[in-house]
Order: sequence, then structure tokens, then C-alpha cells
Amino acid sequence: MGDKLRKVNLLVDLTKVLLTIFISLVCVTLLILLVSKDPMKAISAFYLGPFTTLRRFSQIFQLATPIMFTGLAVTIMLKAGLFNMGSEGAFFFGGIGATCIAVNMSMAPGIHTIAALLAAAVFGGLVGIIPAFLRAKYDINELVVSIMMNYVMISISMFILNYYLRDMSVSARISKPFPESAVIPRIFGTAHFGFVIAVVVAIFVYVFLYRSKLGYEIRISGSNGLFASYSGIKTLKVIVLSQVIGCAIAGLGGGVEVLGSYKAFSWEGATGYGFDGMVVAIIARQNPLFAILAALFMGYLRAGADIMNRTSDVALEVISVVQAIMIVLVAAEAFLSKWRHKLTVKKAGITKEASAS
Amino acid sequence: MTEENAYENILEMRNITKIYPNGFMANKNINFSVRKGEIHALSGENGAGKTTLMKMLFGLEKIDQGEVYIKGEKVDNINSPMDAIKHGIGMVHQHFMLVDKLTVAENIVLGIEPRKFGVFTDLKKAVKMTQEVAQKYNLNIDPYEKVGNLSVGSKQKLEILKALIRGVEILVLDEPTAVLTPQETDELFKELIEFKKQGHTIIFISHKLREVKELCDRITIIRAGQVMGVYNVDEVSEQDISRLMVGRDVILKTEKGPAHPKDVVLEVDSLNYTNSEGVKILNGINFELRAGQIMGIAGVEGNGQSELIEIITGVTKYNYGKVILHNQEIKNKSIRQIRDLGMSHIPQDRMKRGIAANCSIADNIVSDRYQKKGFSGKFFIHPQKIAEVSDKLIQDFKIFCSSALQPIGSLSGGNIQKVVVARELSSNPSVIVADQPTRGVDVGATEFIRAELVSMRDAGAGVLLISADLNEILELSDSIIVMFEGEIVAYFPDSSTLTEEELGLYMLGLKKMNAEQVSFQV
Repeated sequence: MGDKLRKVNLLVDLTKVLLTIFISLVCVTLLILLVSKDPMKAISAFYLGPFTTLRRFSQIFQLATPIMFTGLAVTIMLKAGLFNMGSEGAFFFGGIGATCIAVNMSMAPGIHTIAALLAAAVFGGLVGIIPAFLRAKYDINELVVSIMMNYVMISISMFILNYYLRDMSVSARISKPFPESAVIPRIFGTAHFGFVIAVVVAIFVYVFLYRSKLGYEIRISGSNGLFASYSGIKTLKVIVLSQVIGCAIAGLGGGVEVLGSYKAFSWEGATGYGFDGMVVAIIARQNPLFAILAALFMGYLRAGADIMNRTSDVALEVISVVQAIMIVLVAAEAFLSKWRHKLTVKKAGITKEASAS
Repeated sequence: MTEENAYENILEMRNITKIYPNGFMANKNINFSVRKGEIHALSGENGAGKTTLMKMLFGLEKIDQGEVYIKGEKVDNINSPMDAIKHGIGMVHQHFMLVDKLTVAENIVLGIEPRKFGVFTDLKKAVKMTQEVAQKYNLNIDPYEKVGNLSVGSKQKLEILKALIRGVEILVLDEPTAVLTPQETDELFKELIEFKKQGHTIIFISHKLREVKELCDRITIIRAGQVMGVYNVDEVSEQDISRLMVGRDVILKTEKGPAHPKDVVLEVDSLNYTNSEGVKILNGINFELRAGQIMGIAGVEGNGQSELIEIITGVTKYNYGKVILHNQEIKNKSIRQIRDLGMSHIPQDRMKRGIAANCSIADNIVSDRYQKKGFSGKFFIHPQKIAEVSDKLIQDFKIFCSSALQPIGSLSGGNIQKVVVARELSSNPSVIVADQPTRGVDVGATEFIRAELVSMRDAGAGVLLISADLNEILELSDSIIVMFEGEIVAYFPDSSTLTEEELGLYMLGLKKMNAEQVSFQV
């Protein structure tokens, strides 16, 4: 019975994700048909564009990298039952952390990169401490604090950029250029080794959650905090550490992004990657390994939308429509629940007996 | 159809089937019919599907298959309790649905408030309505009293009145005596017989055979979601009913030799506790638990037992007094430190405090020991060792599942409870706090869990047993203390000759021992 049930749940969950993707893509296609003067060109740019040249193809991996990091960050915090939206601020602050090391110090190639990325993770982790501490100590909702923190962290980052990292020789507010020794090397096209780091982190997060003591505590506390404390698990520790680790991963993502895709730190406001991470985590159903696939899929959509933006009359923002529809459908518990129930009833093997008697 | 007697049964449920989302088939092709003006018992073991069937009738659960006929007419639009009430069906739940902060009269008219100027609630009228209906049915209740101050028995009266004032003809009572003392039960029965005289139909859900025999006209017996038979109560014996309910002759008599109490393992000394709202919950609690002894704590729910348990297990911190576990005061110890001293705890509400539903059975089994040597190193857990231990416990405790990796939330209630019990009894504890260890568990599992508790006692553990089931307390305990309004009002060092009635007098606060009698000093 249990096994059959698990299969039913897996089947329904999988169908749900595929159907979700399908429905959102249909909606986008309809939208393009409505607004575009040359819809066939736009549609083909959107769907096939990423596969037309190697450079465009490489963009998928480049665009998947940052959201994989933030997706993993959100996954850890969601597993602990925490809705921390601070990965946006942590990502940004991590980028500044990496920039500090990259432009102010000189080290051997490789080592310089690693030092900068470590700084990025530390900066990100710092962002996680404040909402975590407030939640653990005063039971202040981490959702509110972490969202507010995003604005604070971005402003602090801009301050640091302005006064310590800025390149005075240009008029734009960007940092001094990254030295060769700190840059993350490319794999092909615009895809850089940051993607590999992201995959390694995904595997790390999986092992961390399912094989480590702290990961175990996170999962139990996230599933039932009261039970966790009844078992003797220190839930306050879990609340703090899961947010610090989650935000550190987001911060690392910020560092990887600036050193892999940019010549200097040039963000002027929120990147939106933090919130995209929420999408990745939800589509991946909080599974760190699925997050790799979810991020790649999102990367593909973004690459396609970007090409469509450049080659047709449909704007990039179409991608937010896809995302919004996907979130609504994946998060909707009732979606397909009737089918799930029907299958469950069938698997329980009663319809036959009931109609026979 | 216009004639009054056109239908034989006031209510008929035909071929009802219900499957819960986790695949559990709670009702299988059930046929259930009730005649007008009878008291009809719906009996079966815990988890047999009685409550599910009634929840469907009352619009709280969706019917998967089957039909409902009321007064001979097919009804297929009962989607909420409001619809059910419109059809003349009222239900009194095991857990009361009342607003504590409102008065009796306000609770009675909730949702059907008499209006003044079309906007304001006419409280005077509400009081009058309450008095009228109370008088009509000869129930004595003060309309001005705040519900929070009522006794359990009065709250139940109020629930019944709430149904009656809404013109209910069929009244469903879900295990109404579970929370009552024997004396309150007698009063309830008198009231129910009065309703019957006035032409109401009553469905009485219960698995207490004595009560069924005493009160009911007919009985429908359900086992594992199926109807086992419908009988006139005076034509079947208690043994017959019991056999039909359980499927075999069970003697819910746990094999138990005499106790051999040894050293004191847990000592509670003048314990006082006032909760965050300033209400004094525990007042000067003193007792001792010895190794090799089962100490029962009897009492009507809400007399401080839950708080006492939370304090002993370290969940709640106490104000003053002492709780000493193996010669160490636990006041400043964490839950883990207290567990490491040998405490284990089967919590009352397994879904809230006993398991993490999304996690696997294995994850749930090691929650108290994953950090210990063998189960994990400095950073990593050892899945192999965890699998080994879980598989063994699944086997030893006969937990029905496909593998240890199955999410625990997909098991039946009885099996979930077995996982909790398996965990708590396998950690080699010296003090076991068992809070309602067999609530909502089928007979087989109940027998098993009780036997395990006795064998833990024989192996030298001290067991503190809290149960709303008087039979369980009397059956298992070597000694019993009774709690009433936060105090220990009786202590029976040897409870083997104690009766339910005697216990009931103390639980209700009608009798009270003096300080010397409840003293543990020999």
C-alpha cells in the first residue's frame, strides 16, 4: 500500500510540474500571438533561439548559475520551515564581498578567486544572521525582517561601492575592474566555471540535508518544530544556522556571478535573483538535485526571452508572466488533487469490489 | 410521501465508501439506518470508521460513494454542517466547539443571533431563548456564565442545547462519555432518555459496551470500515458485541504480575506552576515514582495533568518546588539533558508532538538518538546504522509499512503510535512518561502497547501513566494518584481493589483525601 501510494504521489507530482510548464508556455505563446506583429519570428526566437549558436547555447548555463545558488539557499531555509526572503540582499552583498577582495588585493590566479568567493559567502552569511537572531531571540517573523533587510543590504553595498571600490576614472558608478587573477574562467561561450561550482554546491546541499546531523535537525525542525524540541533538538540553533548557511550560499552565488559574468561590479539595484531562487526552489519541490534541472530550465527560458527581446518586438518581461503562472500552479495544492484522490482510491482497490456488490 | 409514516427509517445511509487522501479506506460500503425516536448505538473499535461515517453525515467530510436518505428522500447536498443542520441533523463532537470567552447564551445563539434594530445582537432575547430551551428539555444551565468557567459536563449540555435550539431532530453524539466522570455520565443518560421521549432520534457513538447496553435500543457494529451487523440491544450480549467489534474474543486484561518497586527514580516536591496568563495550574504537587512501578494519574482532562507532564519532561519550566530525576533537579536542564538522564516521553498528541509527518519512519525513529555514538560522527549521520535500528524496531513492534523510508504521515494512526512507542521504549529509559499511550489506536495495538509498558516495568523502569481511559488506568497501574483542579486529591498506594465509581468521586472533586492520606511518607 505504502509503495503504491508513493508511486501515485510521484506520478501526480511529476505530471503537475510538466503540466505547469506546459500551461505557462501556452499562455506565453498566446501572449506573443496577441502583441507581436511578427509572432512566428518571436516564437521561434523564444523557443529555438537558445539552440541556434554555441554562444547562445552557453547563455543557458550562464543564466542558470546565479538562480541555482539562490534556489539552493531558499531550499535550505524552506526545509527548516523558514520563509527567509533575504537571499536577494545576501546575493547582492556577496557580490560586494567578492569585489572587495578582487579589486583591493593581489594574489596568485585561482587563489585570488577562491579568496574572493569565500569573502562572498561570509558576507552573505552575515546577512542571514540578523533575521535569524531576531527570530530565535524575539520570535520576530523572518519573512518581514529579511525583506526589509534586502533594501538595507543593497544600500550598504552601494555605500561600500561608492566610497571604497569605485573606479574614479569613469563616470558610471561601477567598481574598479577585476584583475585577471580573480576572474572565474569561461568554459565555453559565456558559460563560466561558476556553473560547475553551483552543481557542486547542489550536491553538497543534498548531502548536507540528508546525511549530516545538522541537516537532519533542519529537516525534522522544518517538518514539525514542536516535535523537534520534544525530541531534544535545539530548534533555536537550527533556526539561526539554516539561515546563515542559506544566505552564505546566496552570497557565494553573488560572488560567482560578478566574477564570472562581469568585468567590474556594476549592479545598481536589486538583481531579482533572490526571488527567482524562490521559483527554482518551489519548482524543484525543495529537492537540491532537482534544483539543478529547475535552474537550467529557467536559464533556457531567460536565454530565449533575451534573444526574442533583441530580435523581435516582444519584450523580455514576458518571462515574468511564465514565472508567475508557474508559481501559482505549482503552489496550488488543489491543482490535480482530485486526480490524485481518484488514483489513490483506485490503488486502494475498492472501486471494483464496491461496484460488484 | 406526504404522510408521516411514509418512511420506515428517519435516516438511511446506503453503500457509503470513504477513502482518505493517504489511501486509508475508512468506510467500505456501509449501510446504516436509524428509526425515528430510537437511541441507536454506533459501535466499533477506535479507527473502525464510526466518526468518519458521522462526519460525512454532518457535512465535514465528502462522501466518495453512496447515498443518504433523510425521511425517505434522497439528500445529496450536505456539504457543510450548516446543510446538515438544515436537514435536522446535529452533532456533538468529542472536542467541544465552543467559544470560551462568551457566555452560555451567546454561544447558544452564535450564528442565529436574535437582532435588535437589525444590527445588534439582542442579548436579552438570547438569554430568554436559552432559558426556554433549557426548560423545555429540563437541562439546568446558567445563561450568563462564561463558557470557560463551565465544567466539562456542562459544556456538553451546552453543545446539546446548541443543536436542539436549531431544531435538530437527529442528534449525533460522538463518544460523549469519554470526558465525563461516571456521575456525569448517569446525568447525561437521563437527559438523553428525556429527549427520546420528546420524539428526538439519537445516534450514540461509543465503544463502551456497558453504556450501550444501558441506554440504547439498537446497535450497528462496525469493524475496519465495514458493518458487522445490526441488532436489538437486548438480544445480544456484551460478549457478542465485543467479538463482532474486534473479530475475536479479546480480553482487554493485560497480563501483569505483582510490582516490585525499588528506588525512587522521580520525585516531585511541592511543585507549583502559574501559567503566563496568571492562572494557577498546579498547587503543591508531591509524589514519588519508583523503579519497577506503574503510577497512574487519573483526572478529568484539564485539571493540570498536561502541565505536570510538560514540566516533568522539561518542556515547560516551573515556578517553584522541585522535580528530581535520579537525584538531579531538572529545573535548569535542557530537554536533551533530561532525556539523557533516562527520561522518555510518549506525548499525548502524536501528530503535533510525536512525529515529523513529512519525514521517513527511520528519521522519526532516531530523533532522540541521532546524535549518539554509532548513529553519527562529528558531522555526518550513519544511514546504515539508522536503517538497521529502524528495521529491527519495525519488526519488533510489528509496524505495518512498506519500508523504513516511507513517510511516516502515510501510516495509519495505530502504526504511527507504534513508531512513537518503539522510539520511546527502545532508548533504555528508566522513567517513562506515557501520556494517553493508546488513544485512537486499534485493539491489537492497544494490547501490544500495554504489554510493552508492563514489561518495561518488570525490567525496572518507572512508568508514569496518564490516561482519560479509566479502564486503562485501573488495568495497568500499581498505584494511582487523582488530580483535581491542580492538586492531588487522592493517592492509592495499591490500586488493585479500586473501582471506577470510587475513582470518579475523586475526579469530580466530590471526595478529597486529607494531606496525610495523600502523603508519600511511610
